[in-house]
Amino acid sequence: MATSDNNFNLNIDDYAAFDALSLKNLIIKRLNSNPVFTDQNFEGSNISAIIDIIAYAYSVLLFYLNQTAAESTFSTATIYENINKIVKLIGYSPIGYQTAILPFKAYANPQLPIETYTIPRYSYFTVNGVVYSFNTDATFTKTTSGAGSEYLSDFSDQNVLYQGSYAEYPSYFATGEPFETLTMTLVDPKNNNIIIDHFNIDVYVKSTSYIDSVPISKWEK
Amino acid sequence: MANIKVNTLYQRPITNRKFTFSDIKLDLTFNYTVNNELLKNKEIKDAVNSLDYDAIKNSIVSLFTTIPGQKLLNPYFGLNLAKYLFEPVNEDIAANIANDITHGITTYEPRIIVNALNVGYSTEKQEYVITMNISVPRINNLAFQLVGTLSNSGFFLNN
Repeated sequence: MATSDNNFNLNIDDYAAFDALSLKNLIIKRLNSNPVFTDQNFEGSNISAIIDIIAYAYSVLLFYLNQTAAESTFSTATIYENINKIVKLIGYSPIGYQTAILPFKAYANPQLPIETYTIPRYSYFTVNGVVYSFNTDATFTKTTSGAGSEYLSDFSDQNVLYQGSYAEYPSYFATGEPFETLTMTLVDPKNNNIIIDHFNIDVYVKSTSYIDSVPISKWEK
Repeated sequence: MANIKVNTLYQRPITNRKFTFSDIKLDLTFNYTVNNELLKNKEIKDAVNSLDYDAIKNSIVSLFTTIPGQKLLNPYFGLNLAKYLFEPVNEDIAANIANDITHGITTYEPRIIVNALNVGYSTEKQEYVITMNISVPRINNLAFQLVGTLSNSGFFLNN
């Protein structure tokens, strides 16, 4: 514990325990121990107004001190730029802002024939060098023709894009051992984040049935 | 080794205050203590104070001119007379103002007793004239009168 280094009967780190009201009370208490001023006890007095300003300014400054101190360590930092700066010190280079989902507005070109179209899942767009992908099949219908582009409201409202691109992992054939474990070898040359789309891992089981003693095998998902 | 004590050089602490209430004066000018020549280097400079009557007057003016929420750490402090700005000047509003003043002074200025309070109004000038006869029990029942004007320019003491 820090020791007292003053004649206020306070430890040197006690400043952190005060808020505006408790500091105001301390100032009033100390002024009361001195006969020069008496009106600190009355809210309408000039000295009470000055005490309020000092205590409030102290409280605000302490808040910012606390905020900036908290932003200097990784476990307490909350602002992206500060976390980025801290982790660069240990050689980790964040890729920057990455959106979780990207809502979009889609318009159909007038030259596009009237028809229903499906954009297959994992299709992607590149916008300013950043790749955005669908993770499901996305279907839209062009209903009008003529001049002007058509706003695809349902398509826009019901789909979102995800930043990044998808790659299919090579097929793996199980050996048939119980509780067999597949260790995936992932290569990340650009040091980007890899997210496994675990909702789209397909597992096929080979079953064999016999018809007239003739084995017939089939794969079932 | 012999010690020599010269009592005449001893600076006696101030024990008997000559005031009951002391507030800081917002001019923030310096006041000087008066020491003897030998202790001149220990001269204390301090801010000029408003004492007794002036201190109480400060508080009353603050109370009248503060809108609740303006005082940072006590948002209830103040009379909020500004709420009557767009109200007609008449006897009913004058009575409301008198009620507000009585309630505010009772709550925030316990040092004084309002012996008489009159809120006069002038529809021609669109203003109220507030007259208060006040006594202060702790200062030997010091009695004084404060007269102020409340108009669309705000509240100002006339004396």
